[in-house]
Amino acid sequence: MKYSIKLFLLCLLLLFTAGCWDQLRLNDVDLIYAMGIDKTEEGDFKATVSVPRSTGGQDSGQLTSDIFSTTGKTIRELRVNLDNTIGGLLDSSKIRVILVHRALAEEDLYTILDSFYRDPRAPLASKILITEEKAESLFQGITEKPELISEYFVDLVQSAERDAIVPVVNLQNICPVMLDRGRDFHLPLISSVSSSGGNSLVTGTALFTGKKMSGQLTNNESIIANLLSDIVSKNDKIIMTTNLPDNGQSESHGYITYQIDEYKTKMNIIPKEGSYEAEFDLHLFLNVLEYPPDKLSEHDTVAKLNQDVEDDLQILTDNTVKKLQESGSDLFGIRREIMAFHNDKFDEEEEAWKESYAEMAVNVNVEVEIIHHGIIN
Amino acid sequence: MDKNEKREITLSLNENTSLIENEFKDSQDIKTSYFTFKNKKAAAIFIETLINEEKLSKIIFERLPGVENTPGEISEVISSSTVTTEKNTDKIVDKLLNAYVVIFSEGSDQAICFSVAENLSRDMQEPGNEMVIRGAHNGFIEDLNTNIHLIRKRIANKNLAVKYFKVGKKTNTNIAIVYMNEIANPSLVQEIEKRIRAIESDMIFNPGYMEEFLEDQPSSPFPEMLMTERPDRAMANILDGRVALLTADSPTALILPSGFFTFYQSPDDYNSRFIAGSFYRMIRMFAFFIAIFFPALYIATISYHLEVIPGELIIPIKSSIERIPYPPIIEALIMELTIELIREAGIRLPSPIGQTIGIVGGLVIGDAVVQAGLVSNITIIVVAGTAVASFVVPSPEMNTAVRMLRFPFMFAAASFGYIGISLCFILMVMNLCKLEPFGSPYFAPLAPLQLSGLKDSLIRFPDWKMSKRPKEVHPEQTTSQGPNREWDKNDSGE
Repeated sequence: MKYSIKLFLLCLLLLFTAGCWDQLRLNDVDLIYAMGIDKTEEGDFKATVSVPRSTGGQDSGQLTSDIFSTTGKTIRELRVNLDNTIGGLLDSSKIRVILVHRALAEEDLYTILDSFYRDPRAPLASKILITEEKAESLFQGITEKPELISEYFVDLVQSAERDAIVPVVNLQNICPVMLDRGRDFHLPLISSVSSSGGNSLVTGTALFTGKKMSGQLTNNESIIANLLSDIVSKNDKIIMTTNLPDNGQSESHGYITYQIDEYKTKMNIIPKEGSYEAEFDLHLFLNVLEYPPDKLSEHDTVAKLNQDVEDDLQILTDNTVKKLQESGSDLFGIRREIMAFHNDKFDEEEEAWKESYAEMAVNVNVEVEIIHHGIIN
Repeated sequence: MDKNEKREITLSLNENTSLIENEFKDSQDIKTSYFTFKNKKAAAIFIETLINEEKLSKIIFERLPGVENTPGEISEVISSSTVTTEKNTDKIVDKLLNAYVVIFSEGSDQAICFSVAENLSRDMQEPGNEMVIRGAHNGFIEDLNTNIHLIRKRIANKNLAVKYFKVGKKTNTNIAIVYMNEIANPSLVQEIEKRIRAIESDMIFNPGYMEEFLEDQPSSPFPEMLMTERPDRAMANILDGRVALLTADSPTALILPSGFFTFYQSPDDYNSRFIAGSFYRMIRMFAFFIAIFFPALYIATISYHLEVIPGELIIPIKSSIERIPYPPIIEALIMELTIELIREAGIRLPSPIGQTIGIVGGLVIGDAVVQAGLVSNITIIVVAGTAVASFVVPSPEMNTAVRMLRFPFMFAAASFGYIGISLCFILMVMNLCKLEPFGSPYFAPLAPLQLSGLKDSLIRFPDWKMSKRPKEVHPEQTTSQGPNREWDKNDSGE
């Protein structure tokens, strides 16, 4: 009995000697909220981070963001250098947004994100943005300083997500797609409004082929790509404007603005001799938001508008598909479809696939139907 | 040699009185009053501090002149239902100590004893520690007979058994166990009787004393017997097949065996509609978890797992604790101890000052300590929330258990983070499952799982649905009611 008590106490004390070793107290750490990664002229990585600081004690929660920059040969080395620059312990688990300069993304995105994927405390829900300008200049350029720089970028992306311009992706869910041969992905692309820096805006999406950025889409093209990939949620508000052919003749100034209320999309891969053919059906149901000439209750008007909008969107869609084929980015997962349903014709060779994808006949059949026209008749 | 002879009283009055007076050597409150009855000398011996003299004179002295010429003995004159005769000195001493008057008469070796007890007890009041909104507002008082009366009045049944015991070698305290024959398991009653008889203590100070002498696992943090001052709570538990143990001069009844969920049932639950009753049951269970885990979770999160704090929340928390010089465990301990200090001071002081202490302690210290930068706002919120949650339990014993339990959780959290909390939780649940006071599983109906028992634990089903008595106390009769609300079925069927 006594022996067992002694043994128990020994075990307990043994446990307590090891206690606290992995302690990471909140008041010791400096949280990074946003991180931008650029390339220096010497070929090193350069990171710019924003560290929120509160001034004025417990009661008045005055927030400011400090911006730090360092360089390093690898991302991890960067983090060590940063840690030395900043007073407290650096903690990356709260990064909300990672900005990657376009030049780096074109080389290899995975190289940059590798250190995050290896970290058990990685900020998996953070957003990845590709920047046209240097990330550092975007950080510095925010004129109306919000409390948190990270919030600014996150809000930017989130509003673009609601407009279905950019897909809802984060650090975690691009990883499998990046390593997947059957499908590619796209990321939000931002640039500053003016050349001198200043506020940023989402200008479209960056197309990726494998781990490398290979092209870009404009906002409208990106919406069409998202619709074709069937990743648009019901709650997204897609608003588009079409220039009508009878420009100037009517009081509408030749434009109609509509919201895509519902959509249906269907992909069909047809194997042909030595190559494939992809058929898409895109059926869009519109809610007219703005059309001053009205008469939308008349069958003829609606039929004509349907046709005009359809022609316009058909051109946009064809352009989008062409861009995708040129960049070699397989957003729709055509290759995955081939792997799954036409495995006998599946080509292991990466180069051969790229060639056949670029030359593949992709036909999109856009159909448009106006189903609502607001609350007036 | 003479010992046996001495134990019996003799025919001589003087011998008898001096014999008894010698037993109480130094007590000056033992009184002997002599009188004559039919020309025979007699003496009444009693302890004046125990008896009611007014009653005594009514019972005997005032009647003596009137019956002088009628035939009959003294015992026939005494208008009391408690008249007995005794010969044994020990028994007589015993009677005297229980507020009896003993009459010796010349030429008789029989002592006449009858009770003239003075009943000084306060009025029945609602027990301050078990308040209810609705329901009976009377409570037990410091008198055993009144307390049993309160139970008997509620259970008019011949099967209600009351058994008296005397415990305490020096104090000779009366205790009573009250249970339902044919419902309470006989082996349970036997076990309780056995344990009561095994008490070899000089005194029984209060019910807590009894609990410690009777309980199975003295080292467990959880109370194994429900203490209640409410007759309705005692009655309900007796009808569940449990045994109530009442101690003389204590307003507290011990209910044994009690399970974990017994402590979370309040008579109020059954007065409110069953949906509300269930809701407040769940609130109480939730409070149990808050009271135990909240400070520990705070400490562990701040010290080890800051990545689980949502992004929007981490900046305010960080700015709140940024300038605190202590690690979170010290910070939390300071506040927890302050709350315990305020509580303890508030109980001991008379109530007007007690409230002042509450305000001074709670508001002034709480505010000043944050201003001074010793403790963060967040810690104050956590500790205050915990304090409120820990007082929700409708039993003061479970309440102390819960308040004690959170300290090991806090230390484990400070040393090992969430892993420490889980380990502590495992140990706690192990203890809950292992406890078996008087052979009835403590954590029932969760472990062992009994679906019918769950009707009155985490939630409260409508009363007419709870037709099974709790299985864990092994009642003789398992059903407590027949099919109810039959009319409802007939109406809706046609």
